[in-house]
Amino acid sequence: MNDSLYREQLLEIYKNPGNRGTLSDPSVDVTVRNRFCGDTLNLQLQITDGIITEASFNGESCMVTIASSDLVTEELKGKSLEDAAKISKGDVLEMLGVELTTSRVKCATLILEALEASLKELNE
Amino acid sequence: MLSVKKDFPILNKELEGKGIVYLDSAATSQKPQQVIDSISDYYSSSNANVHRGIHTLSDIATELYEDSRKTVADFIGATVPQEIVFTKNATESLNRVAFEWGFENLVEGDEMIAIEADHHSNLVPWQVVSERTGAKLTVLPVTETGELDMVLFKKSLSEKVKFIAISHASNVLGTIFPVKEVCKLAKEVGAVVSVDGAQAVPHMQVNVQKLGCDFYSFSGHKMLGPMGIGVLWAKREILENMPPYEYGGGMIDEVKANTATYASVPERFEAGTPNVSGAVGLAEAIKYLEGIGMSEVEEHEKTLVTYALEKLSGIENLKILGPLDSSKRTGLVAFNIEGIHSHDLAAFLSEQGIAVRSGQHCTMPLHDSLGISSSVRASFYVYNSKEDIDYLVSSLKEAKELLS
Repeated sequence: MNDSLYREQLLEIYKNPGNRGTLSDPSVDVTVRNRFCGDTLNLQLQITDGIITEASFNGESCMVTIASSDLVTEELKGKSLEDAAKISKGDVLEMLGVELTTSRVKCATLILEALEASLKELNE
Repeated sequence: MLSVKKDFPILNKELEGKGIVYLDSAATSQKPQQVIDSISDYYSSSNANVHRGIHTLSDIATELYEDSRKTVADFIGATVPQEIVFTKNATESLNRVAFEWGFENLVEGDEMIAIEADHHSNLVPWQVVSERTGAKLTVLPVTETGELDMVLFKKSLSEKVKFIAISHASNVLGTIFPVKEVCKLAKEVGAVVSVDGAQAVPHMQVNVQKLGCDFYSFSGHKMLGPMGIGVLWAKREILENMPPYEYGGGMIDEVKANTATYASVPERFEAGTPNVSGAVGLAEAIKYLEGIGMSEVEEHEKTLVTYALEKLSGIENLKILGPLDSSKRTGLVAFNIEGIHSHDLAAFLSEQGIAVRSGQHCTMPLHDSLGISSSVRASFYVYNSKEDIDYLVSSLKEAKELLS
């Protein structure tokens, strides 16, 4: 099952996502919803001097959302807000490294929606 | 057990090197060759616009279209073919009840009842009617086993209730709701009943007169027919008092520069060029189902759902939604495996060649009330077999191994 979603690497992240949880005093805390399945995803960021120092996510979600959220939050740590805003859908799909069906691209990019909403909130 | 799979070309093909085990007929059914041919034949030999031309082809097309209406009318026990309005799907039919009847007949102080298991298409239009007319909408919960709470229903009925929206069969719980009893009680208070029959007509013998309802809606594509054709049935006297939904060609009687009078029913409700090939395909699907016999269809699905309930119950941590008594159900089973997201199960099953639905199935209020974010649904039809269910069950066990 080479093209399978259920490759060992993703399964491992799914079963033990390192960045799943909550921060004690987040600078921003945003929850978004996937309207196809009703899943919610919470993203929390800790920001010091314009740099993301901590990032975590939470929510009851599918494997694709969990894996992409874990990979993206890891990527966010140490990034400036400006650089964080540059993470694209293509980047996320590349991080996952599997072919996704159209309906599940939405699951993969839910974390990006949360990130965009967070950055917007910070700007306001 | 039926053996009609050979008639369905798509089910005899391979997809990504695997056979297709299609368990998503509640979303849309597959089509037998007979239905596919009827559409192709219509365009190859009979196509013309209906009700418009004097020429022979137009006459042939009109006759086919009206014969299809008669086939549908006979199939659901309508009094006359004029009670059948062709729409694009059940959603449009249900919306028409709200727009053509609800807005005209409901006012502030009136009450309406819907059920939380109703599909969004039988619920949201009535939220809009409530918002615009001021009529109050009460959405009744279902019981723990996914049935209509008759005590609560009776308690909610009063002279103020003017309208009731109910599903004949739930697209998630599988429950067959007691529509006949609901209609009888509704009559006592003078309420009009609109039934969403999208999950019932494909699977059981339905007779709208025996049910005693006022409106009945369903889609062609869930009952072996093509997409893009649906049916709204209503009692003739109700239709005759409803205003049109759309205006234009085919639905008028006489037009002057500033005024118009409208055609009689059902033409008044079918403005513009209708979906003739859709109607022809739907009629062919009905003939196909009648060839099998609706009681045989029902029997086949009952056998499958009984078998599925038994086998699925054997999987640890798998929770079935809806009644466990198969006599109260149509041929579908929605479920969850604890700790595994419905999309992950569906994606894994898809890799094994099994098509199931996952998500909320257009019933968010029901999922909220069940306390779950989504579910997996396996739905069966005439072409499914016990082997399909065995394969589903063994694949689910594999998924559990891998994902939990």
